[in-house]
Amino acid sequence: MADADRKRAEFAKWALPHMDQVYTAGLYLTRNKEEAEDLLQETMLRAYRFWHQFTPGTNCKAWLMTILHNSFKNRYRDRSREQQTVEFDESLHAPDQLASADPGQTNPEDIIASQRLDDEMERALRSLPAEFLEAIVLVDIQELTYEEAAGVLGCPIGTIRSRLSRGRQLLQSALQQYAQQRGFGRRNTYALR
Amino acid sequence: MHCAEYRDLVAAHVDGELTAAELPLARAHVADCVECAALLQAQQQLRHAVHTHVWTRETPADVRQRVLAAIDAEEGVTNRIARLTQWWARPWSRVALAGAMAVLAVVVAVPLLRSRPRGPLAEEFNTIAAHYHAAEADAVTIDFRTDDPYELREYYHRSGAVPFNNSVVDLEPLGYVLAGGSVVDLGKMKSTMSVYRGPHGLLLCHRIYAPDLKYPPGGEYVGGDAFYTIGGITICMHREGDVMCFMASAMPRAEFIKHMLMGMT
Repeated sequence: MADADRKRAEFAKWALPHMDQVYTAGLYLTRNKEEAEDLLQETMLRAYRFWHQFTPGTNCKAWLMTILHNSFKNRYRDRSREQQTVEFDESLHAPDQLASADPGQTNPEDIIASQRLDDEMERALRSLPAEFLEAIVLVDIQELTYEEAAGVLGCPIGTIRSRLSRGRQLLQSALQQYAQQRGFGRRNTYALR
Repeated sequence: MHCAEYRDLVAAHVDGELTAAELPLARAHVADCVECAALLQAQQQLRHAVHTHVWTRETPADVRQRVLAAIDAEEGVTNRIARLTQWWARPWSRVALAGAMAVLAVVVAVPLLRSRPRGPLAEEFNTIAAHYHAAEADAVTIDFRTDDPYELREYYHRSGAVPFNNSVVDLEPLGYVLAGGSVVDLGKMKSTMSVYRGPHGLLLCHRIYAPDLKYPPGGEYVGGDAFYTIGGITICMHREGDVMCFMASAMPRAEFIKHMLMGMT
C-alpha cells in the first residue's frame, strides 16, 4: 500500500470516527454553529496534515481535542464572548436529537420532562466561565482522563482537578437557580434520573 | 484534610482520580464532615446528570462532506509538494531545470516543434484533446453537474464504471470551480472526465485505473509528471497510486508547467 493510501486509511479508521465529538466540543467552545463548523474543518485538516505526529496506540480523540483547542485559541483569542451569538440553540433543539435522547423512553410526559432537563443542562453549561466549561467538556462530555485533559489544555493535572470541582459546583448552582425560577423546590433537581 | 482542601479534590474523588495517598484522607474527611459528604453526593449526582442530559451532536451532512472534500484537496496538494520537494532535493534537479528551460526556449523559438506521443496512448491523447475542444464549445455531455467534488465522486462510485475512489480532486484552492463530470471511454478503458473552469480557462481531468501504465516517450518530465502537447492542448500526465490522471489545458505547455509548479507550491 502506498504511503498516501496508508495515511488515508489510518486517518479514516482512527480520526474520522471522532468527527461528531470534535464538532460537539467546538459548539461548546465557540457557542456558534457556523464557527463550530469552520473550527471542525480546520481541526480535521490540520490533523490530516500532521497525521505523522499522531502516536499510534494513544487516544486519538484527545489528540484531536488538543488540535481543536489550539485552533480555537488561534482563531478566537481576540474575541470577547459578548460577540458570540447563540445560534447554538438551534442545534440543541433538533427534533431527531431530542427523540433519540433516550430510546427507552416512551411516556410523553417523561420525554417532555427529559427534554426540559436537557435544555436546562445546556443553559447551565453555557453560563459557565470558559475555563470551567473546558474542563467539564473534556472530562464529563468527551470522557478524557484528567491527564489527557491536562495535556489538551496545557496545564497541570491539579488545575484540572480544581477546575472540575469548582465548575461542577457552579453548574449545580446554576441548575438549582434555574429550577427555582421554574418553580421546582427540590434541592437535587438533577438527581431525578 | 480540611474542607477547603477537599472541595478542590471532590471532582477527583468522584472520578476515581485521587492518588493512593489522598484517597484514605478524603474518605476519612467525608466520614467526619456532613457538608463535604453532601458535596460528594451532589457531585456524583451531577456527573450522572451530565452524562444523561448532554449528548454528542451529529455533524451536519453537508459539513461532513465539506470536511472530507477539504481533506481530499489537502491530500492532492501534499502529494505534489512531497514529489516536488524530493525532486528539487536531488543534486541534478537544478541542472535538469536549467536544461528544461533551455529546451523550452527552443520550443518557443520553433513553434512548430511540438512533441507528439507515440505508441498506445496516441488514441487516448487525441480523445482527450477532442473532449477538450468539445467542452470549450460547450458541446460535451456532462452527465452529472455539480460543483461539489464529493458529490461527483459519489456519482462516479455509484456508476460502478471506475474501480477507484480518488476520482475527483478539489481544485478550488487553485481557483478552479468544478462544473461536473461524466464517465467516458478512453481507448479501451472507462475513465472519469471531470470538467473545471478557472482563471486560465477550462481544465479537464481524465482518470483511469492503470497501475502499470508508463509515461510514453516524447513528453517533457517535470516534478514526476509528464507534459505533452496535442492539437494545441497541453496534457499533464500525473500518477496517483494505481490511478493515472490526465489534466488537459489550453495553456501553452511552458505556462501550464509554470502554473502547475507555482500553483501547487
